[in-house]
Amino acid sequence: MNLSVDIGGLRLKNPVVTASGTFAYGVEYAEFLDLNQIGAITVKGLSTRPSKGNRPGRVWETPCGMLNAIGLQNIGIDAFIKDKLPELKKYDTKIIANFYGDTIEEYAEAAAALSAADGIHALEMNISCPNKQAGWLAFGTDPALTQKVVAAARGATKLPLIVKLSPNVTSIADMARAAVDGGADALSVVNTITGMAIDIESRRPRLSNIVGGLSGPAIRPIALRMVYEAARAVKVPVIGMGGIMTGADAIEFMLAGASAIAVGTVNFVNPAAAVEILEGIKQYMAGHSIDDINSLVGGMIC
Amino acid sequence: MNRFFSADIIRNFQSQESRNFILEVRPHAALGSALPGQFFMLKQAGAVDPLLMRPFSLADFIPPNENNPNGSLMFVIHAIGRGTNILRRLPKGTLLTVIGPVGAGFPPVSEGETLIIVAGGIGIASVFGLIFKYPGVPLFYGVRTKELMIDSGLLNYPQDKLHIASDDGSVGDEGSVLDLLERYLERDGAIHSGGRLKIYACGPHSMYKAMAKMALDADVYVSLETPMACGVGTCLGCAVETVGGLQMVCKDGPVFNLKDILLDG
Ligand SMILES: Cc1cc2nc3c(=O)[nH]c(=O)nc-3n(C[C@H](O)[C@H](O)[C@H](O)COP(=O)(O)OP(=O)(O)OC[C@H]3O[C@@H](n4cnc5c(N)ncnc54)[C@H](O)[C@@H]3O)c2cc1C
Ligand SMILES: Cc1cc2nc3c(=O)[nH]c(=O)nc-3n(C[C@H](O)[C@H](O)[C@H](O)COP(=O)(O)O)c2cc1C
Ligand code: FES
Repeated sequence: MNLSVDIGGLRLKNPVVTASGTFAYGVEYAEFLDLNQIGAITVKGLSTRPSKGNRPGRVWETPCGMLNAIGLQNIGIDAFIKDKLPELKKYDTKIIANFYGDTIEEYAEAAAALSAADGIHALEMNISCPNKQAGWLAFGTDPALTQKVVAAARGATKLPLIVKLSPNVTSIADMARAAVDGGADALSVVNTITGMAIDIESRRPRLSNIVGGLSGPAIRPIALRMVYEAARAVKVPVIGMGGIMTGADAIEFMLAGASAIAVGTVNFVNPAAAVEILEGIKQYMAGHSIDDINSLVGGMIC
Repeated sequence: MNRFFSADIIRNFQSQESRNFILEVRPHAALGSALPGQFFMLKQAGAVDPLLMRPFSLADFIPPNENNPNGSLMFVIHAIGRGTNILRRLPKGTLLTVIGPVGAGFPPVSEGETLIIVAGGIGIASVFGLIFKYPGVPLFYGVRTKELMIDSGLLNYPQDKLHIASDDGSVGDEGSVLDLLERYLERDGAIHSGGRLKIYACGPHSMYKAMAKMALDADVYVSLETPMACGVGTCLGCAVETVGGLQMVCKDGPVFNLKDILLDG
């Protein structure tokens, strides 16, 4: 059975990736599952300087999902490379460093700093976090700006560059094309969907940031549709994510066009989910006599 | 020790008068020992409604026996929202997934130190561990009304050590449990003159605010509650503001020194 997939030059032994922000810096999960079994680990979104994130009132559960407004709190690229990477790179898995900047220059700077470290296999560029300030939104929603910021990061790294798209757009296909025109080797689809919740007793927003990102099974059909549209619009591979809880969900994303899948929120409710989802994928393949996982990609029959 | 395991419900005891219930679960793996104040994340296995696990303090651990080779965990829960009301109705035999013990519990009380426990409402659940570890220490317990009082763990408690207050006077003294505490400290202040006084508390935010204003001559530790997603320090969702910056309730807490936390906001 072949489970290995190629994501824009990044070869994974299997298509299961952990999603940024839901798996800390990877090493924290070693007590819960065998990290060697995961295709790739995407670490929490990193910036050139450490970031404190948003004020408390950061998570809230909604039907079959959760809102978060962490605000990209992270230890910074230097601390990641010094304190987390040496331990993480001992595992037989691929390491994807997710990063962001507040300006085009910072994106390029972050990409360069991460590329200089030994042990990072690919970069994932976050241009789509719903918890950042208004101006920042444009990187993930204005195709011309998307292309420009991706090109800047492209120029700063030789590692495979994955661009993570925002679902908070009218045409995901346009955004996918813009990212590829800027030099993306692969796409991650999708980040969280902007949402909010209000406490009707106090009339206050549940999140200090008022709005936050919705994730979990609640967004799965939307994410699936966006993976389908993005994968059709471009030739580069797509990592599909959004509400995947089981192997069956993962297969659905691959049939829609994803070459690999990422698991996010499910890590919070089942920290061993990544390996269980891999098992589920294998069972499906065995049950349907599928020898090569790649034959499933885009295999929906219309 | 494995901190992520499955368990099944062996008892889900409903109180007739209130929305409190006692959940006893049997872990399917050996556990690490839990300190008072530490907690567990629970949910029905595979369920997506509610999606996230819910944090509950360990009220008691019953050691391994013939039927339960890994012992059993007891939780005292007040059904307040959707998740706890679903949990309340789960029958015996239901499979749960559990993470724990997690968090940093109450610091140990050293020789020569005096401990006083303060519980407000369902906060009593989080101090049962302390009550069992330090039997007979003065316990101040405030409830809104008699029906909400959880007395199962307190039946044999020395009466002269138990100080109960209720908002409506239906049990114990009428009024705030903190007034009882204040009077006690004025009257019996001498009893702790020898060693440092420690006050360990669990209750609503408003109780901590009032305690902060009391200028207590003691080390006051309180257990905080915030909404949580992961319970293990990775999602960064349960942040609280402290004098030293943001800290995570699930990992750095839930027990904090009262003087370290910024209570407003
Ligand atoms: C460390 C810790 C220990 C706790 N121990 C106990 C205990 O022993 N017994 C007990 O009855 N309760 C305890 N609680 C509170 C309990 O976790 C909440 O009452 C419960 O999560 C409410 O869930 P719900 O779905 O019924 O409420 P809803 O209001 O429907 O919940 C919606 C969301 O808000 C969160 N939430 C709501 N209220 C609280 C709260 N007070 N604290 C944290 N999250 C909340 C829920 O987890 C959920 O994500 C503890 C909380 C913490 C943080
Ligand atoms: C608490 C939390 C934090 C997240 N942090 C990041 C982040 O730092 N960078 C990023 O690109 N995506 C982040 N995400 C988005 C996830 O990586 C993922 O795209 C999204 O949650 C959808 O997948 P899911 O439904 O499986 O969680 C975060 C999601 C959650 C729930
Ligand atoms: S609940 Fe996730 S960090 Fe505390």
